Amino acid sequence: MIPATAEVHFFETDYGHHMLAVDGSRVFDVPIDAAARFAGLDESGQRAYLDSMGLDGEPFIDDTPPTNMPVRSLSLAVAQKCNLACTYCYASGGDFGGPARNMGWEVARASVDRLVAEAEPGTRINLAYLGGEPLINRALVHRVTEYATAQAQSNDLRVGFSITTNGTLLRPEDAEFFEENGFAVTISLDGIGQVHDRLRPNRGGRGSYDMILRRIEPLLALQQNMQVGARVTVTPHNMNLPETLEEFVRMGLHSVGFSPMLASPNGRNELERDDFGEMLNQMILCGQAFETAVKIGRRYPFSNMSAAMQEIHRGTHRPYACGAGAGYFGVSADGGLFACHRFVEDDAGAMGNVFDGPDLRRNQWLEDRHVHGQSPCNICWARYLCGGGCHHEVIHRGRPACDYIRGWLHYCLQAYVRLSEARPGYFGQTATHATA
Amino acid sequence: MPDQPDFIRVEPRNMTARAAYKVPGNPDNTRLDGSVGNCFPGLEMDVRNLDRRFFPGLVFNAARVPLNPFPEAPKNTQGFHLIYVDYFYDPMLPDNSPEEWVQSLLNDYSGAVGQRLSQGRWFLAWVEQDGKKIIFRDDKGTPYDGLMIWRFIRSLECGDDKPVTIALEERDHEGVPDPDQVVLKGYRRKYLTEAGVFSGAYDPGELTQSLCNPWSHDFRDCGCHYWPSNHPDVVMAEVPHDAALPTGASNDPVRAETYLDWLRSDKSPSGNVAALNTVEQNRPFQIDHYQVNQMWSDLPIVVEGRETGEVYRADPELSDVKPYESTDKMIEDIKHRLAPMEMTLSLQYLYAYFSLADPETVDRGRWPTLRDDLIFARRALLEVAIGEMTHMRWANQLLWELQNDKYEPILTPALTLRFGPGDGKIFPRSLRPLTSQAIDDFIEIERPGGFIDRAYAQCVKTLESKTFIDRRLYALAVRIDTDGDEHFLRFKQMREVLAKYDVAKGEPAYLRRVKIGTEAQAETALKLFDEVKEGLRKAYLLESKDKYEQSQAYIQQVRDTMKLFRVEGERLASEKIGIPFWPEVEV
Repeated sequence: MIPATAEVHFFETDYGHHMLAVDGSRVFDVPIDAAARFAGLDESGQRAYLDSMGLDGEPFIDDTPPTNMPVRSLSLAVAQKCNLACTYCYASGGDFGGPARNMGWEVARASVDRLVAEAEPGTRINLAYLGGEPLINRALVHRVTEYATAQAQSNDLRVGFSITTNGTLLRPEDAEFFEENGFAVTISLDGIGQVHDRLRPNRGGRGSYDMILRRIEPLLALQQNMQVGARVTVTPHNMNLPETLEEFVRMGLHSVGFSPMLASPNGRNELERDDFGEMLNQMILCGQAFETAVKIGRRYPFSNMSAAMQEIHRGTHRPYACGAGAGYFGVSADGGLFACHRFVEDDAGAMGNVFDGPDLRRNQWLEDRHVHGQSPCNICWARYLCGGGCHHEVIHRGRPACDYIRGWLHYCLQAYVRLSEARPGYFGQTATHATA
Repeated sequence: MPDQPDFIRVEPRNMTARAAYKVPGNPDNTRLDGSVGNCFPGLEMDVRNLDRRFFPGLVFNAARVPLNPFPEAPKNTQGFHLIYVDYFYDPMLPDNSPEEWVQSLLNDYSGAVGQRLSQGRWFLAWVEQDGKKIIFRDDKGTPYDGLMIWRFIRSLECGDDKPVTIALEERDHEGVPDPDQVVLKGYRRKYLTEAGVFSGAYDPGELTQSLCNPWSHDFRDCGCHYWPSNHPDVVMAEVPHDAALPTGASNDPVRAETYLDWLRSDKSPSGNVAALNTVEQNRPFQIDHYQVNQMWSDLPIVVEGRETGEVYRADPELSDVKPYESTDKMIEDIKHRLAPMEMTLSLQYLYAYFSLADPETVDRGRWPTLRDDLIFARRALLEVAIGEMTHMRWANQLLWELQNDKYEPILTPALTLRFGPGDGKIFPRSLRPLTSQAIDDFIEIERPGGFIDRAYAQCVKTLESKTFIDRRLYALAVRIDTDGDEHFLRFKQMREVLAKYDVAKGEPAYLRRVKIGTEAQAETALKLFDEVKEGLRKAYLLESKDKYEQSQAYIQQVRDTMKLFRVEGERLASEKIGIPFWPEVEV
């Protein structure tokens, strides 16, 4: 039984007192004394109190994991090797701890066929190229993309492509290819200049920042269909997030997102308890810059924030952090199917091969990973917004960042109320109160 | 004892909160006849205003024959009167149109024809479409009234293959038309675009410009079929929160169960006095036309016959009721107790209904008010009987929804009835005229909080459980459970209204004392009754299989048979013969 205290989260803004009803991620305005009255009640009193606010309906999420989900997205580890030697790489320098190798055509084609075979007509399938560094195997990327486009056309499907690259191997002709195929290109950039260089050196120890900037210029110049974004992995050594964000936005990147470094194979550069407090402060500073920009109608592509705003507005509520092992899988170079790109070559997330499709381990995975079965998630108010955290990080390090996540979501809830008052049009429709 | 807070008002903000928010208002099991409709389709605009621009480039008004014309006023002012030529922005007449008829009209309007039409009084003389020509004058040459012409104009068709020819005539001061008519060819306007939007030909405000005094003015009185909605006449008072018991019932049952006039002008608690039983008696205490225009928004929303305040709570609190042990137990109880009980009640009430005298043949010299009171009592009693029939159907619906393929219609009356306070007592069923003793018993049967009133509470409590995914069943049980109060009130009113005719010894003046007839005497009525039961049986079986369209044929047949049954029942009653729905000795 989930305690009543884990069913709601109260928060305040200048616009009044508010409440997140965890079930269904519903946001309400409540009377000023609501949180205090709630806190003063015992468990049964709290239940009655929630009922009196109308929170007594059918639960939005039950304990049952989804079954028979079609495979909608695959990431292909087209090259299990890399030309950089990032200090914290989850793939241990690109090879996932095994021999370095490229994916062959048979595996890549089977991946596309798998997506096409499982998709209902009219739906969208997604192919992501990862590694290692995927551009080491550029020829395969081109060939698979052409094949997938043709297959999608003849099967009445839409197909989306994305690639996550360190940017060092980009060529001008890549820009044309990505633009033509509407790629979402994510460049791993961990800071400005030397900050980045220290975290992401090449194998000889030299920095990569200047080279990357030169190489992404053609992409930024051509960016129409394609979207070029930056992903910043936050470690104790690159905490100046607002400056980083502002610089990358200025550069014309379509989106900029931050993720904390929680678990690296060798433990290097992982964030520790105190670091999370600092990262939260930095993230909120970025969020405030975002709020200021949105209020004056300026596009500010801080993706953590814009995603949170849309999810809170829609009331996104999920029993999993992501689609890993459900509709999304990572494919290893030799065709192994894993819960996601991070689990490649990891037995903890192995689920068969791309030729035969996911095996029964998927059902067990979905059962095990359901947030209702996670502790302490099942007594946490943030469980359906967070989903229980990245499976890979949780399995390999646990949950060191819960306070950070709650702190961030608390801030995002407040920001949501502020923006829905100040600029309701941002959410696509009037977000003012429904009146009966 | 945990703190039991009142309902707390929260405002939904994001999309899931808004989607799941229980909006204060009518629950999904509300029927139009159970509450006041609060929209008035047909009053958004005056449809006549569409036809004033039926012909491209021209604007007409439908002019009536003046009621009190000045002697010196022009004659024959009635008809479809041309107000002005308006072709500049007419969407049917673009300058660059390749259509010959468009260019021809534009030439006319901007040339000599337009010149002529801009002076004098012009009227529509005739229209022609599909070879049919209608001249807007009667045999004697008198022009038709504008509204009559409007009806003809409404019958014109639009479409590319439906050209229209019209003629305009100029009338002089004496109303004599100039024989030199203006004839124009074109098409009737399409009033709506393909997307369902009104044509851009209309100016802002044009479609509403002739609406009468606010609808509320008419709403006070109107009971005719023009209104696609209705309003209640009498209602029960709201139970204020601070006067409600934990069950939601009032701490003052008499006050809460008294009918009030919905249109009463004094809405303060002191104005909550029982409504009288005819419109005429209540009229002096109602809001008047001039008041309703200002007060219409103060008229309370009525749900389930009761005025509601800010928030209506659909779910009754049934704290002292236990659910059935199992669904099977509930099914057994509905089959063997509840559904047969409804059948017995409806037949007892029907029997009593036929015992009421015919309002048109009573001695009005001696009893001046008896006719009206009988009309009231007959109507009220029939309403209650129909209510029980409705319950019987709902009880059957509960059964077929719960039993699926195993369902068998229950159309057999119960042998006994259990009623009274608490667990009640068992009484034999009985067919009786509506004597004062019978009314008293009926009041007991229907008394709020009595055994029968709570008969469905257990079903509600059982179906409330979240294991029943289909919420319609719960809503249905709630409907039956909350439907009984009006019956109690109706019988109480009947008692009050009819008591004054029950003064002397012997037959009360309102009654024709029918006696249970023999099967031979009532042969026709019983045959019709059997047909009704058989028709319902077939209809229910089909409905239980979701074959609603096929069941409708039987339902219609049952309705028709019921009409014949009513006529036959009246005929027998006029001979003092009651219908023996079951074998019984008169008590």
